[in-house]
Amino acid sequence: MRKMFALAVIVVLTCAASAAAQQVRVNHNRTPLRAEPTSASPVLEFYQAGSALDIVSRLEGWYQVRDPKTGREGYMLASLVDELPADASARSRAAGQPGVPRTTAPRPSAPVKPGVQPKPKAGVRAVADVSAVWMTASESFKAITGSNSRVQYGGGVQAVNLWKGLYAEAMIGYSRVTGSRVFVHQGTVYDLGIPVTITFMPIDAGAGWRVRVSKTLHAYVGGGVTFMNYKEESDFAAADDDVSETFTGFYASGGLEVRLARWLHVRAEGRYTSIPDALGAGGVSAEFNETDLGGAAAAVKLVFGR
Amino acid sequence: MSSRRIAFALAASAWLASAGGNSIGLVAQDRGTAGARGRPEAAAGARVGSADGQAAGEADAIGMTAERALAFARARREQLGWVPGEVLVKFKPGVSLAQGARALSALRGDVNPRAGRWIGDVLLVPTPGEENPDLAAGILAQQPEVLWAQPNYIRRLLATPSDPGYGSQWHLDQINMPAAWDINAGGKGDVLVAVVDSGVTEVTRTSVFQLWTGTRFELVPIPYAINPDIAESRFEKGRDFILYSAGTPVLDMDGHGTHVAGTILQSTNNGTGFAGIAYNAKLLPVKVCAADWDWQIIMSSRGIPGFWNEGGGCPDDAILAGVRYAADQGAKVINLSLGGAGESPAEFEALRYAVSKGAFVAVAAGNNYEDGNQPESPARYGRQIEGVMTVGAVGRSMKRAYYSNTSSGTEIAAPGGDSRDGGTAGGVFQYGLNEADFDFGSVVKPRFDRYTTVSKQGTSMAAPHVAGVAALLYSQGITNPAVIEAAIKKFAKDLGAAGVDNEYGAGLVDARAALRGLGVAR
Repeated sequence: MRKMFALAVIVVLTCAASAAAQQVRVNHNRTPLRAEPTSASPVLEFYQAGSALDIVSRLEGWYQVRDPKTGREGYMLASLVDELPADASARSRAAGQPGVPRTTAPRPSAPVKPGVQPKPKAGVRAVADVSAVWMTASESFKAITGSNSRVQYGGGVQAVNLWKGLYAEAMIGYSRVTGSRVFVHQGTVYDLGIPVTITFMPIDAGAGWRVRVSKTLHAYVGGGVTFMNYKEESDFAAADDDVSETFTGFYASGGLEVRLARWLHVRAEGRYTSIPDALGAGGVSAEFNETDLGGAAAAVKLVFGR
Repeated sequence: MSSRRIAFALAASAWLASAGGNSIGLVAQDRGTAGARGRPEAAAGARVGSADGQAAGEADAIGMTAERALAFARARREQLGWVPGEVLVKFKPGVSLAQGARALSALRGDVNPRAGRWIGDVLLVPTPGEENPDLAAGILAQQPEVLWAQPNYIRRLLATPSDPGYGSQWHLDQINMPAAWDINAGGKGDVLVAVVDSGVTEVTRTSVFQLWTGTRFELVPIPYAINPDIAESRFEKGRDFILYSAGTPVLDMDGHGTHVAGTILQSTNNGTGFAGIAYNAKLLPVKVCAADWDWQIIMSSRGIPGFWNEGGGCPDDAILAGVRYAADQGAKVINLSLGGAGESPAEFEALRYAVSKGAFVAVAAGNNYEDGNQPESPARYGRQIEGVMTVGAVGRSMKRAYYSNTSSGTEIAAPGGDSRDGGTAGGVFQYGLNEADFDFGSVVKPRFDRYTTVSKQGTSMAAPHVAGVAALLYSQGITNPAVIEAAIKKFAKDLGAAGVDNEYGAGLVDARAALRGLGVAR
């Protein structure tokens, strides 16, 4: 499972990195990059002739482009640029140059004048989240707590734009459910009325890739390692009856991020966590042959920061 | 027993039969009733009454006839294992009484089904022309109308003597009771536990019986008292299926039933006596076994002189009726600390009936390990019925007690005591009847109103530990007998060979673990 996860992350990151395969070359000095595909829209930056920009999309008379160095996106008049063949784009990318011969002195593609908006840069953001988690060991938790889902609260930090769309995150969560101990016979659960309190405290550490869909919308995928501190305590417990252990697993997440204000974003996230072999040695999880402490979650996150 | 005495007894029996036969019911009288002495008076109305002013009325009417009492006595004396001249028959579905009568006509003598007694759908019928019920049952089983037929077996109570002495209730510690009581403090009062045994005295009174005292019959006041360690309010009105008619109080004249009941539900934390397991549960005393003094009273009441110390016994018809009665009264747990040789469809069906009514049954595995170790009934049916558990015994060291049967199909082990493992302290201790007060060998005028520390051993003592735990499990929320059995097995401490074995079954019952159940991870 862990190997599969690692492979999945690599694939996701590679795809994200190679998303802009074709480029245009700027033909004139001080060619403006505009915020919208109209000549009346604000100029974000000016580019020198020879600069190469990734094509995001083709419009009537305009290209939507992205500066591969800064990640800034905007629009350029099609008449002011030439579309490079795909292989030339690839070569220029491989050579670390815009789409011009190596003998040509490299020209800065950086703007000759600051844009209207600040250039994206790495930053740290605070995150608070609330999740609904559906446990993989659904029968076990349903037997004890009456439900196979739980609500989890969490918080953490994110470092964004570390390199292009790359972000890293560290999150901690907390979830507490109550129920009672039972006996299970042939699939039927008999409640014994002995109170049980179960506490989940996961720590997630991972990374992901965030791409801009529009001015206010980003999409992201990520994943990482989760360390789940699991406590199960019940009345009348003797020594070693209660459980307090930390198990290691992994998570994968993805979602959309909407910018609500300059310093405030909201994320709608789907997350899958797998913590294998944490259960199943005893208790009802052994009866139901359920071993994974993870689950699928739907989360809403508030992100504070740019 | 001298031949003279037997001859006399049989003559007395014949005489009594001629005076009224099966219909003779001895009339209860108050103490103040002037009772004549001797046989002629006994035939007209034996002396049974209440000395404490309570109206005994018909409550003490002795239902057992002299012939039947003599038949029992003979069976015990000759170690027959069954009541001579009686069979239990079950006809196939749809068989009419007339068709049944045709089947019974295959026997020698005049066998009239109307002379029998129905216990549920089982007929106890006298076979005057065929004394040997093995033969009679074999003939009946070949009749097309008959589903099964069997002798009316006489089971034994499965306790063996263990010298009283200093001891603590190690047996309750052994099954983790102190911690179990933290989880469930003695169960709930709505759990009815039936002790189908030699009875548990349910009234405090003095009854006057005509007794043979060696040279003559005397009207002897015999005091009975409720065990001070089981509050009277915890008794449900019981029933005696062996000696007395319906409505009479249950009286224990053996001490076995009292000891068994004590283990299951004797009061705890009350400063008296010892502890019981489900000490809030209610008790339904059901008497299906007679002790020496039961026989002595019936014989003396019938005007038959002599001392009838052939020992007690539990006829199958009484067991069948008693178990059915307990289930019908709503008992959720039934304890059967009795057994004997011979397969008994009657017992099997009684057990199935009890479980179908929602009652869990604990059955003693048998004490005959060193006496052939043959399978015993009803113990052998435990593994065939989910909700009935066959209980073997261990001693203080958690080793199988030397007597504990291993061929009946032990499903679970519980402390039964082992005098070879811990000596005098190795028995099971409860607050029970002071047995010196009614020692048949030395006492002529017994009393059953004094209680003291009593040590006993046997699978009889093991079964009530399981019954008590079952009562706690019931009040904890497991109300299905089959599930109670599964829980007790699941949480047992494995002993002996890994897994289920014939010595310990699933292992030693662990009350705490069973009551605590399962969490998600542990």
